[in-house]
Amino acid sequence: MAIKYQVEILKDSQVHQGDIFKSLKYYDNFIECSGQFELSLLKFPYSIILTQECDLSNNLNERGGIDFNTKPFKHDKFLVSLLCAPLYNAEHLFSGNHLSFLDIVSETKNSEQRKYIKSNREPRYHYLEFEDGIQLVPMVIDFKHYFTVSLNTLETDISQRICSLKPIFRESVTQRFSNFLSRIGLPEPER
Amino acid sequence: MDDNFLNIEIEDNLYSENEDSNSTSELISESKNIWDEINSQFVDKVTRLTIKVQLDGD
Repeated sequence: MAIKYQVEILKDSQVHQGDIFKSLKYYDNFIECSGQFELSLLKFPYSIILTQECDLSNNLNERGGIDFNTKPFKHDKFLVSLLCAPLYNAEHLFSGNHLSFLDIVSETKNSEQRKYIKSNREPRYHYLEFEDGIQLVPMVIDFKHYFTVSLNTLETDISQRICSLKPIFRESVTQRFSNFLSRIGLPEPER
Repeated sequence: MDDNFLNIEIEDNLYSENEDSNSTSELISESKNIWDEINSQFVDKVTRLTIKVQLDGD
């Protein structure tokens, strides 16, 4: 049986590690041609914040003591953007059609692959089932699809935060993310 | 706001406007049906949005 991830509903205005936001937008491309500007965005239904809690809280604490009228002001804990990763509907990901609206087809996962993903033995993915009472279907984080969003955007859209993974659960996710990023791909022998 | 920004068009690949319909209520009803269908089946999939801004004049 899969572990049920515990969440909490936070009411504060700080962005936290493990926060789950709905409808986050990633600015994919911006072009200007013959007087026409075109901005392309990817809209992720659900995303999780992977930036570490200490960086986020230190940033907020430091900003609380800054007099922004005095320039230049000291801001050692300044954050350009936050790391995020999309949460995909597990059934869609297993079927390989979770990116179908982008005209992208992925591999359909067989029963063995599904079992591997569900037990979090596949480094690329993190499978989540939520505790009872949370209106979220089983989800899969795809670490390969990580992206960034500015802190300012997330703080402005804090009402889009639907819940947050509780400590230990969030750390288990980010530890696996760091493990994924620290893989070393070795060259395959030439044939 | 810059006065040069006259025309802002948002293209959503989930929604297509029916230009042939003359009735506002039909349009509203149709768009509601489209979104109901989206919400029932595909609400939790990634989508692409394109925002176009046409500069006018100098």
